[in-house]
Amino acid sequence: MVRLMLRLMLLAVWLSGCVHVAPYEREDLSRPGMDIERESSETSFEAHVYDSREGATGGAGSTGGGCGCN
Amino acid sequence: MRAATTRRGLLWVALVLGAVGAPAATHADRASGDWTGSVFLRGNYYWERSTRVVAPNAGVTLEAPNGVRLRADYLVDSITSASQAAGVVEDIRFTEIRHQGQLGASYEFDLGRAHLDVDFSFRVSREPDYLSLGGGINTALALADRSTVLRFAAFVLHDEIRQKLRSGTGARPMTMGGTSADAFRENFDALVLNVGWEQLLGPSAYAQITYQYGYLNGFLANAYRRVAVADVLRPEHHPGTRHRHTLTGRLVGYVRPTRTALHAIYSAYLDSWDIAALTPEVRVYQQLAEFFYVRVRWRHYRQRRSFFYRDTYDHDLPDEAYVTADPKMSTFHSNTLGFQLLLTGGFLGETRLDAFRRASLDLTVEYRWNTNRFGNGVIAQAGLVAPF
Repeated sequence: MVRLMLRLMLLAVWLSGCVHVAPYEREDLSRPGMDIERESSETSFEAHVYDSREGATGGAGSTGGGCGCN
Repeated sequence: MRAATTRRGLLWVALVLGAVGAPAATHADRASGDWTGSVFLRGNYYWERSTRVVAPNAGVTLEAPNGVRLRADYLVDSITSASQAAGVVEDIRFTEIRHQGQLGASYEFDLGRAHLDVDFSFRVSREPDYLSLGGGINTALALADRSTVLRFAAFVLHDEIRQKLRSGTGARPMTMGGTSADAFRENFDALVLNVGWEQLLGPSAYAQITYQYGYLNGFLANAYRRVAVADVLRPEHHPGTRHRHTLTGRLVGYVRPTRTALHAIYSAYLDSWDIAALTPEVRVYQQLAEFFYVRVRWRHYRQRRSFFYRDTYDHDLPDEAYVTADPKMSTFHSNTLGFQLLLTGGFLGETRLDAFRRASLDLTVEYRWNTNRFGNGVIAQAGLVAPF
């Protein structure tokens, strides 16, 4: 499954072939649901919860550690 | 009683900050030579069978006319939990308060056809029995009119662990090579490296792929948790080093006819303690009205246990054997279903509240079904972001 995901990602990027999207074409990309930076403070708390409740970490900007909730 | 009052007070602060905070509101841009920025206020709440967390969080970002960006945020984390140190025969509740502050500064260098964004950050987190210091650099190289972004980040962490609360003796256990006179003073250090590639796939889609490596070295167990080994309680003992690898991919697309944004996220994790985890996630953002959105999110998490985790340790083991009572070292899975309402302030334009026209308010509730001893949980958040 991981390999499939990786291949799909690489295929998508390869097919895009260094796509160039001009700034005036980015109306859709600037919509609230497309901008994950908008959710950074929300994601930060969720990552903290997951860090203290799951053996895995990473992928959401968290580093592990940082509190006594080990 | 005092802990309950403190927790109730913090909950009110979290809700008030998250829901009705009143940001300063001036507007300027780089051309005018004024500072711009935004403030955010967020109330965070987490509940599960034995733990309550209330964590109000506030922050500000500023951009100077010369392009330097500064940010600061502060979080108070009130954690009320049943004592793990008491074992399973007692349920003693205690409350700890954690204070966390972060500062950051960044600047984007114009390299002609490319842009290089460099960000430095520093974080301090303090509890009565825990101090964490961290700092890092985050860089992003944007190419082809920002159609391709390559990212690199490094973060170092130094944590100091003490034992002062929850019926801890404050002494270093004999099983950790101490004597009864040694104070419990443990540390750990971590280095986290992150590389990422973000690629626009067209005017309405992009993909991200990120790899994160983490190296942890030092005291990696819980300072209070005890493990029953052949019916005798002893301190938890984890390996002193840990190598962590996380690979995450995200595909994002926008469907214009239905005004829907779709996110498919997949994360794979592996570490030197033999824990392997997979996390698929789907997010759907639906615009319901001009300024009103709803988000539905489903996340599945599944992991394999660490090599030293056992449901029970029936036979006696040597002192140096790795033992744990940490439920997150076990084999388990969880499912999270969440809803978010997002209201943007565009409808306030040209009214007396015009200053809030670029603000947004979000309310989130998520339920987490979890198969290990932690049980099910609820995450609730209320956030306000106001650019100025």
